[in-house]
Amino acid sequence: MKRLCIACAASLTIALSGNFFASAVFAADEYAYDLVHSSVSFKARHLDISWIHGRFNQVDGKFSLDRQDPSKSTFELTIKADSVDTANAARDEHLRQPDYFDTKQFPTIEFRSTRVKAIEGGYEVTGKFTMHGTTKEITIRLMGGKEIEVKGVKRVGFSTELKLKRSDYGFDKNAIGPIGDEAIILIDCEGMRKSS
Amino acid sequence: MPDTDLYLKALICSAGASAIIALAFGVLARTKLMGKFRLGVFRTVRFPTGSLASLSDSPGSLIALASGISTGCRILFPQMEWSLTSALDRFLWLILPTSLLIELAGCVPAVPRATLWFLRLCAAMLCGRILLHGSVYLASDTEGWSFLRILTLLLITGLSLSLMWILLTRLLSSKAPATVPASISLSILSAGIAVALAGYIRGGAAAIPVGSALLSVTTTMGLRKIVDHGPASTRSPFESITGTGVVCLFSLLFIGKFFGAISTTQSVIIFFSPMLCWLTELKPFRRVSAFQAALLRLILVSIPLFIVLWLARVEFQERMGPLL
Repeated sequence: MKRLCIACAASLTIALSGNFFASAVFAADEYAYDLVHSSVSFKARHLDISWIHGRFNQVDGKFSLDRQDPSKSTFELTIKADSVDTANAARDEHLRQPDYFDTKQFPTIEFRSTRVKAIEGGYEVTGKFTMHGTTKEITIRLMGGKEIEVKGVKRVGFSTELKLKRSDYGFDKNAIGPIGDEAIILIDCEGMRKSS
Repeated sequence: MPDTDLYLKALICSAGASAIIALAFGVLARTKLMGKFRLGVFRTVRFPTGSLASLSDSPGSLIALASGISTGCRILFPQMEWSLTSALDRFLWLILPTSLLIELAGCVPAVPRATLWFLRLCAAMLCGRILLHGSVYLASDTEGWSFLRILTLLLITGLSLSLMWILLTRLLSSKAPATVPASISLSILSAGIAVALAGYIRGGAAAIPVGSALLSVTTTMGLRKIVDHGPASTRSPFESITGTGVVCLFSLLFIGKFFGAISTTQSVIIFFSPMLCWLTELKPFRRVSAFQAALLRLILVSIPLFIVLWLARVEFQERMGPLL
């Protein structure tokens, strides 16, 4: 009985220490989206002569980085469509309506990665992008990934720019008039995690 | 960007398609061919005397209405595909066809009137829930409305629709019954303008084929009634289209309120404005002729609609004007 107890304790110790080292060395590092130092903004053509700029004020997300095996990294981003802000309350109200984002029916814009591969200066991330109830696979190039530590918090930053056609995501073509079909989305995100 | 030429085309085509089909049914109803067709279809059904004429009137008007709406929608939304994701999709693909099917079922004399009204009231009570399906209002997280709030909303709106449906159907037995669906079609077109002015252009545009087809079928049926000196029907030929019209009016305003930005006051005034037709049933107006009653009803219904639209236009110019 005594031998059995020792064996159990020993195997438990080995298992726990193994897990600890595995997480410290091999597992992906998880980062929470830092809203204070991140932004999701966009711009779209107005009458094909100028640009309208806007941003989403409520964004949430997380990502995990496995620097040894980048294919195990994951990226998730959830944008609250209702938080659209173009510095004009009437236009924001209009953009929330069903001709545009239809925020009562489709409250979030989401991105979930399915494939990640390392490229020079960052990562190429393929994933499912859902907007206005339509999901499409897109590939984005996340540039950055340098980690620094400030006051015991590790921070990683990425930025990307992607072009989307609103008509590809079920937006009414008749509503695509003065504001162009194509929108450029700029994502700058900073992730943070406590130093272990 | 609103395309007025497209809207005009949709309005004319949906009205034209509805009128042609309603007239075709009228012509067929007067031929022996239609009589044979009717007997062929309903041979096994035992129906009361006088219902033969209504067999061609009510289904004919419903088919004409459906054709007009589908013609207009094809013009307005050429890329429209089967989908139930948005509230407007659920209205066009689920609520509207269901309403038409219920009314068509009601045209079969074997279907008891109590059953027809049971189906109608079920549709009225479920309409709001179907439109809100999958929306933030029903979300289980903290942002969704509480169960009690949703239940209260659905009960109030469902009962309002049921009450309106019952009272307007009852009014069809009075003189100038055609003014009832005509008033509803005016309200539907006004609802479309109000919803579009509040910023939901597609939602407002959807009212064009519905309102114009309903107005066209009503006018055609009214003219046929005058020419034919009235069909030997036990029920008003306008009853079916009135029911579908009320459901359409409710749905468009519900979508405009909960997914667009139309105000509650605007929605309520537009929705209940056809009820002003009841005023002609008051004692001082009882002796007026059918034509005078019809004219009075249309004027009474138009007044609140005009005020609401005028205020909506002023608000639009103040709020949205700088954006254009």
